[in-house]
Amino acid sequence: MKAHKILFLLLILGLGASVETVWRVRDHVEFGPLGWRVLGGRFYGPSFTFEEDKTETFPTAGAVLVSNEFGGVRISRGDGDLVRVHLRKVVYLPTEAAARALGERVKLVTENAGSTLRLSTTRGDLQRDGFLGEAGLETHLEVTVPSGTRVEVKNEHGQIDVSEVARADVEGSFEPITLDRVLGEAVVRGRHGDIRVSSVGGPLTLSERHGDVEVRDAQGRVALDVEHGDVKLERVGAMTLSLKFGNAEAESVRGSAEVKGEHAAVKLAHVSGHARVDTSFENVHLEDVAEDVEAKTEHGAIEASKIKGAIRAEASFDGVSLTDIGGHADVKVDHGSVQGHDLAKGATIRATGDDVTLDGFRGAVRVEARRGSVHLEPRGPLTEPLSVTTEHGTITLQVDAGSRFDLAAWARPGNVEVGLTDFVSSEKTASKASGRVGGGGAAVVLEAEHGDVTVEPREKEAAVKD
Amino acid sequence: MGLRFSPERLVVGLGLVALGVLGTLARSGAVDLLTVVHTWWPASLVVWGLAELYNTFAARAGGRRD
Repeated sequence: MKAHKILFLLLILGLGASVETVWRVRDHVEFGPLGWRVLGGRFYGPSFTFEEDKTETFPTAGAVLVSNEFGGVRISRGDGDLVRVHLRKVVYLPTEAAARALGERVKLVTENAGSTLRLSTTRGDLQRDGFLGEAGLETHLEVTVPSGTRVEVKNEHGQIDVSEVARADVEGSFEPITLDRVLGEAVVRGRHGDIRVSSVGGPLTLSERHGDVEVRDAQGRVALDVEHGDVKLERVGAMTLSLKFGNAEAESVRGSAEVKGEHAAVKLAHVSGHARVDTSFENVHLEDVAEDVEAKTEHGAIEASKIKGAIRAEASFDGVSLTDIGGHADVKVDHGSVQGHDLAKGATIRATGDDVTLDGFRGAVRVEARRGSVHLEPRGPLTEPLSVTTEHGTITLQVDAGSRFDLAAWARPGNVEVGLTDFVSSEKTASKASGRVGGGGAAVVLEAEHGDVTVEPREKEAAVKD
Repeated sequence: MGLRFSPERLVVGLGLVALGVLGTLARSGAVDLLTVVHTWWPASLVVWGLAELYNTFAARAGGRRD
């Protein structure tokens, strides 16, 4: 047989082997606790389950410390002063005999030191001594503890469920963590798995990497540090959140809410204290905050409504929209618009790159705008000081009848038009106007560079609407 | 000058035609490409073997040796 025919045969067989390999591994490639698993790794194939139970007498108000790997840990409240432990061992080996031999070596380990009970298995010893070999071994622990027990759990590669305990300190990875009905303080550290916490009576401290977080009904202070996951909070105490690469939603916060984000959208609603948000590349949405607000985002928009206190908002490359603000509004926007509705105590606004529109405002207002126009409609007759300067933008002021102010307006270059019947001018040219409206009052200064200035009565339809 | 018959060329040619047709059908959703290739790839050996037999007999009938 010629050499090229042998090579051709090998080529066909090689292609066939590739097809067979792809055929075998398809549907069996996944991300597991040991990294990428092809054909399932250790935890794949025939498995056999063995069980073991143990009961320890244990005083109330003690601490149960659980350590486990590759298996779930479930802790709940039991009866009396007993700790009951149920161990379910799942051994991945081809034959039952081999699995049973290994399963019998896996034992529950308990160290009862009076007020502290340590629970674990012999898994670590078996692995260290080489008994596990290539076998997959899962150890699932179900524990019931007396009322008032403090619980500490450290589990790698397994789900954790803890409920009805006095306090909880939980650390897990690669599977979800669930805490429910913790009377006192709760501490949770998670990696590569979602975390769900509900009904915590004390403070909650939580850190998470690569997973979503959901917290409901936490009475105490909540401190969260989350990366690469979304956060959802409902009915929590005062909160601080550090969030990178995820979105946050918090509703019904009893106290202050402080969020430091990076690449994080933030949405806060019904906050009984103050709110501080500093994030980037995403938007900030605030609704119903009882005290002052500070919001900052780079490359994102800010939308705030029903703010009872003052607000300081800073955004770039997107706009700021404010509605129903009880205190003074201090806004700075680069390359974005500003829209304000119902501002009760005036505003200080610096904006570039887009328009500023304020309607229904009271109090003193100062606006500095560049490359954008300014449109103002105060609520009711204008009697408060007003100062507007624009560069490359027009100024339009619409006022109700009964307004009283001293007007000084100029446009350079541009035209100044005052269409108020009760305006008594002291100086009037095409690009400048000064005088008194309604007999005079607070100073209203309107200065436009490269834009026109218009002062006119508010349109009737708008007035009727209010 | 005529091109001499080559069983390898026949297999490669038919294989490419089959792969192209199957790829088109797979993209249209008519067949599962991997399933069909996994089932039928050994047929390329059959086609090659038949082509080799034909080549051998044809050469003997024509009085030449390969």
